[in-house]
Amino acid sequence: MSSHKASPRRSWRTETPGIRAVRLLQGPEEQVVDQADRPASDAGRTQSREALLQACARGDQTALHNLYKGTAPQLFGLALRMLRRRDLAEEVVQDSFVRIWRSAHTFDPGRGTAMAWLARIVRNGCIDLLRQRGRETPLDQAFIEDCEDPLASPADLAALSLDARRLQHCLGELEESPRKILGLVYYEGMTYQEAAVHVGAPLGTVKSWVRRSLIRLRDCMER
Amino acid sequence: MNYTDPELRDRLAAEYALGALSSLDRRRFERLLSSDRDLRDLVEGWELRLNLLAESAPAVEPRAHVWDEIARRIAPAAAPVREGWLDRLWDSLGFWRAAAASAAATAAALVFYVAFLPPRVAPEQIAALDERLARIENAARGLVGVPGEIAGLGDRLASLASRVDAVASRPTHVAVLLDKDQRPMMTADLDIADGRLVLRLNLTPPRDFTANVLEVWLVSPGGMRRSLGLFPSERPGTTAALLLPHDTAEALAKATLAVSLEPRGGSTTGQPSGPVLFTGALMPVAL
Repeated sequence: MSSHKASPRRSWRTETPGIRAVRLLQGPEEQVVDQADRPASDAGRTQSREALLQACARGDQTALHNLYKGTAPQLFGLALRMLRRRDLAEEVVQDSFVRIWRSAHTFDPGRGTAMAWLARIVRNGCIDLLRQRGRETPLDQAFIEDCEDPLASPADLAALSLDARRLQHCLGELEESPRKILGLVYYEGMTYQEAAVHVGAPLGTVKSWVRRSLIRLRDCMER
Repeated sequence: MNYTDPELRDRLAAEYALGALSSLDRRRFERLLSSDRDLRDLVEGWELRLNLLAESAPAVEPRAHVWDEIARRIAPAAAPVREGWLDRLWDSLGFWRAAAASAAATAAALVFYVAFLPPRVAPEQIAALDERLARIENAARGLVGVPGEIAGLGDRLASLASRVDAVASRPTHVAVLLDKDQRPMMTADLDIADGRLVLRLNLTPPRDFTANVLEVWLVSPGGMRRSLGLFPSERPGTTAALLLPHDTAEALAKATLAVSLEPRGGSTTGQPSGPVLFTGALMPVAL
């Protein structure tokens, strides 16, 4: 799992609001394709995720497919990490994209990035599944330590959106233990209780770490 | 706990968005959420903030069948083929306007609705519909002067059902959505097996549609509401087909459909934000 760091297609915000560039992976070499240089036939693929979501709201199925191609690997990676079962993760991603299709009109680019909006649907699906069915795959220490901790090595900063980079910067300001717990809760879908058992810390300590970290993150993001 | 304390609200919203709460605490918080729009906004803010972390998740390519299944589920359903005189009547705006003019409209709507059910309408299903008709007749009697022929609706219902031609759709559930004046504003049929929901707007609600749209909601018996999407037009005669995931279709079969008036683009809260204009419960036709 740890070898799948690079997503084949990622778009990110450039520093200038409103201008976007998209990186396309072509064979082993990467090539940056500018909006202006892009052939018209490729328009669907290189539209921003925000624009694709808005096209979905108008009933454009090609837009959903392009959105899927650009985001599914990461969303599936997230679901797989949380659920530990390929079949369940696939089910959640399927349900999520059908839901995305149906509720694309409720996406408001003023409130957040398209990727966060998509991930919210996928992740909530995973959490609901975990809390309803309970964990079928035990939280295996070895498995978790085998996986890289995305919070410990936010290496591919350039591929992140501006907001996500900002969040990574703010995470860097947290102490190591609270940051690790935050990673366990976010990426492994652990509850407070599970995270406390996992790291062998008192539940109260874990809760106050997380609560304080969340407030610090927000303050840092809004700074 | 004092759920009006802003600090506590913010903390719970953040913990819920992060997913740190246990099942029990999560359910308890969801009950709060269902009736508290500001709290939903807080949660959404946290969710959009925290889910920026998804960009750092290790990517794993899903298998090809995942997309194939999504494509299958969102594909627009073919409009049901309806033929014959009933079809022309069904499509006649005049009929619906006339029907709406009377309190017997509900009954009339059901009679003609049943005409489009599959040919294998069992006697007990007709009896169930007939019973509903009788209830509507009774209710209508108190409201306005009822046309004389309404008394014969039960017979008409049975005879119409036996004259049904083969139709493309075989709904397992139907609903007639009524407004506060008991007018049959919309009809719905649901095929629970393939999750296809066909909605047809019969009359335009007397509302301002320059900046508003109609949004369709599933209201579960427990009162939970979730959006099924925007209805494409307010023009009478508009038919929309929707493919629902299996679980949603199953939930819908036991639920009520509601249509609310929402600002263009739909409700941004995940719950109806404007007035609910008409509703109707699904009822089974293939018991």
